[in-house]
Amino acid sequence: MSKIHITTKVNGEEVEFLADPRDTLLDCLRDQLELTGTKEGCSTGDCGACSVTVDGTLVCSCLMLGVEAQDKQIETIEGMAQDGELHPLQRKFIEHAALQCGFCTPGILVAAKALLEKNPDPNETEVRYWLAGNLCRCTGYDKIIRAVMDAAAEMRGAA
Amino acid sequence: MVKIVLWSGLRRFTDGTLEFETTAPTLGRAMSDLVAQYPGLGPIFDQGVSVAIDGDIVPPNPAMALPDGAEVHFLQQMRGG
Amino acid sequence: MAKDTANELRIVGTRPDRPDGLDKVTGRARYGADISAAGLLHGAVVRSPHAHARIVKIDASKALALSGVKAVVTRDDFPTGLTGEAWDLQENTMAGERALYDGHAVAAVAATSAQLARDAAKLIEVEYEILPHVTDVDAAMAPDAPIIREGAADHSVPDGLHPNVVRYIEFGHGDLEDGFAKADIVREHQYKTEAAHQGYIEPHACMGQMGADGKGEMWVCTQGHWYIRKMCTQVLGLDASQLRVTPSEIGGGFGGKTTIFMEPLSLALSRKAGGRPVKIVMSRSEVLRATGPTASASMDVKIGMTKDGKITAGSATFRMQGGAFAGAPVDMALYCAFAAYKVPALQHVGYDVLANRPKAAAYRAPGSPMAAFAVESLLDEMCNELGLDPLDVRVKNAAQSHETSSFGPKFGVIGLNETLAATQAHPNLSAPLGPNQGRGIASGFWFNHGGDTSVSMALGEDGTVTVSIGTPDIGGSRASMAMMAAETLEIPYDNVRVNIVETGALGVNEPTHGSRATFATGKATVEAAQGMIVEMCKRAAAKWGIEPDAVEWRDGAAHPAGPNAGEYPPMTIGEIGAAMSNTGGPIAGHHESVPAGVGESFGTHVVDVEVDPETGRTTILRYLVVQDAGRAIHPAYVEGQYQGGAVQGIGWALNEEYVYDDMGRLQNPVFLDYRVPVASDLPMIDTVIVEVPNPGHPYGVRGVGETGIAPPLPAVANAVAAATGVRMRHLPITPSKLLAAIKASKNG
Repeated sequence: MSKIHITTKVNGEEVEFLADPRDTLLDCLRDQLELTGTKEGCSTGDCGACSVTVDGTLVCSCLMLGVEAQDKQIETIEGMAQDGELHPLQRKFIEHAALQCGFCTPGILVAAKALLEKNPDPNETEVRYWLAGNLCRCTGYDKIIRAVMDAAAEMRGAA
Repeated sequence: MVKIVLWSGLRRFTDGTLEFETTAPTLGRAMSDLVAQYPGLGPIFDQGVSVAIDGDIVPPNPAMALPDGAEVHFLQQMRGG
Repeated sequence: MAKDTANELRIVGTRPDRPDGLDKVTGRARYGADISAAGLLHGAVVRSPHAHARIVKIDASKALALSGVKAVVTRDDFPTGLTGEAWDLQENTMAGERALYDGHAVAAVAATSAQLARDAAKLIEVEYEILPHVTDVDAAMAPDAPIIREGAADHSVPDGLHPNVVRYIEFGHGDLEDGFAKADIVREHQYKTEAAHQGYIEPHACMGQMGADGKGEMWVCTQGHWYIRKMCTQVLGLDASQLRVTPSEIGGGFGGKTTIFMEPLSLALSRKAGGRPVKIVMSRSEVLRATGPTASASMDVKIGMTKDGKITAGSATFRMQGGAFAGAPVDMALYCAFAAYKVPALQHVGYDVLANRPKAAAYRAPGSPMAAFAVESLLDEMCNELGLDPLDVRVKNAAQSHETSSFGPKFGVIGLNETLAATQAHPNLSAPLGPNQGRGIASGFWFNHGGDTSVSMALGEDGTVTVSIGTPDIGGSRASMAMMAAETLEIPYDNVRVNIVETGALGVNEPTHGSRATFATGKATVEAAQGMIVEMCKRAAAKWGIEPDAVEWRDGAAHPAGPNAGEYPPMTIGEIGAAMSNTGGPIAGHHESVPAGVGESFGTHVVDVEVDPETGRTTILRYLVVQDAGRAIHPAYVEGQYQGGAVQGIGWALNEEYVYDDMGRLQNPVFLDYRVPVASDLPMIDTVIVEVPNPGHPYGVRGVGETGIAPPLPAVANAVAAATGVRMRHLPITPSKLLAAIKASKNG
């Protein structure tokens, strides 16, 4: 099967790549575009390590085909810091020690950012249910939830 | 004098005795003395044992000096993670 | 000399940012699969769909005919003549005469793309002759059980047992009959736990490259790259020093990444493909089917207790299967079983049994959680029967420092009493409980470990310091090492950079396992720093024309030791670094040892649950971890270990198990069905760090990573019993099982 040429926008930049029709968006981000920050944990949409946003919607990039990326706006972990400045979520994760191995961290940061863009003042239960699709095996989630709520508070204060 | 304590599962290789006193200067000598007395211990020791000296679990270095008055426990080999 | 009072410490005990934090929150950090190379090939593994089968024939011709397929390997490509554990590793890496479990590797292929490699793997035809199989541990010991391997039992196994029993443990002390006779009640039950997987989110991944000359390189996510080197070279018949292994960042391990699975295959494929690098990334279902879950256990426990709560005797008989190879952690389980208690008479018997399941690997305090489930559940049942407070009973029978342990040797300094006292004082114990709610308490233990450790430290020309360590950073240990180095050298934390270096750069290191990194690598880091201090003082002494012992190190500089030494302005570490080429050459410290003085860690947990009587679902309302860390170098990362271990234990108690069908095939090899805890399952996890310093470490460190997974299994079961009146003795306590048990108890 021959590859299909795809043009799309990733983290605000126009990119192009060749996609095998069976490749997922995750495969294309990692292998064609060398954006390895987005991780594969399960390839069945259960772990959230591959979370990205596509046209503003949080998706598991392992459940989307690379060829479906044509003319979309895709945001990955690599686009979260702007001009070298970390997003408040990224800063709070470091401050709260909300990561141990760090493998789930990119997916959780992308998911948390999507949450706060939708709901800037979530309570603990809302954060937990939003992040229920992002597995973490190291932290038990406690410090992650604290970091997200603290970042939300800071972002509300700065707004 | 050093006290050596074997684990109770080894009773079937000794005549039921589990505690020994030794003046052997090293762990290796103490072990070979025991094997000389109870040959059935040979294959067990060759397979590997864990050793605790006064409570400190250490690698079974045959050259290790046995401090006077120490209590040396042999444990079935610990294979941990 | 290292300081040991908390108020003298400047850095140890604080919470600086971890040095790799930026890389990990931006996606820049590179894990096992985040690598590429020129000429890269991708590997795929063909795995047996049968639990037990003779491999009749392997025909790779169709695969090799595909354009882009560069190599196929089978067991014929491996050397013969291995014995013992090396043979076990080789046999697990690639099946020989028989496939021994669903998922056992039988062949591997390398091709120019991952898709092509998977397509090619499907074209490799394997003919099997299916054999009878057994997956349950008790069934595997029965006289009619299929024999998995003849002659695999070691010298410990008495005559008359099934060939599937490969190792036998027996130890104890005191007069058991007399002990039980002295009890007012003697109770005995069987408890079972199922196999669980460590569940790290990052699948195993490596990129291996090996030339025809046997020289190779590997990039791999691992807890221990020297183990990878040793095991790969053993299995492939190569020289250890000719393989250089570089550890990537690691996305979780918990013991499951301390050994090899597909790594040798990447090297074997590479060599066959003309030395091109071969990348192999496992899928999630491969990880669950064919890496190393922990053992399942069938355990009989008997305890004698007086009316006022004194334990007079205990016996434990444990049967565990660790897959098709020896290695179920039944020894460690038994050593842990009564470790928290002072009991005058104890007997422990254990059986390590083969089954047609994947080769078990370590999982966080291997054996301890199963043992804790059995012993702590029975104790709880007996406390309930006698109307005694479970914490009071633990205090009454608690193991003491410097006294004989349940497994034989005397303990050193231990902190069990302190964790019990801290638990008793905690406000969670007085949180009110409503209908269908219950509280459970349990204690747990882990030995921790020293092991081969090599560290090197070098002074830069500007006075900043690099530390080279060999223990991969699973959870923030770079920060802890930098803190200990900075504390010892008395320089700023930011002036120290810690690197985890490849196998060619240091002496051998054991993996980051056994809760050893902060203890062992930390102790060696302190020793290396002290070695550097001696050398730096010598350089200052030479410059001042005084004796080296007249120089002392303080606040990051060399000072004359007293007024008699002379009046010289201090030489800072930066000044010494700048001058070192002219004063004797590079300044570095290093330390290699197997450190003694390991400190055990005890923990006590309290959990409140609510059980929905209509669905059997158990919700965790409140969870408290109280554990002895000796000294918390970086408290946030210690808390993180407590919380992470607790949640893994909660998952194991409530949901996680390996489910096999009657063909011995794993039914739940994906995260949807192998259900680990998610954020919405849990509350915040409260932690209390108790510090009873370990005299064996310059800063008092005890390993903390593992103990925390043991208490949750019994604590949750105890809480469920309190909430429902129903005692579950077989984990996991899934909603359907609990509902059925509740219904059965209502029906009498």
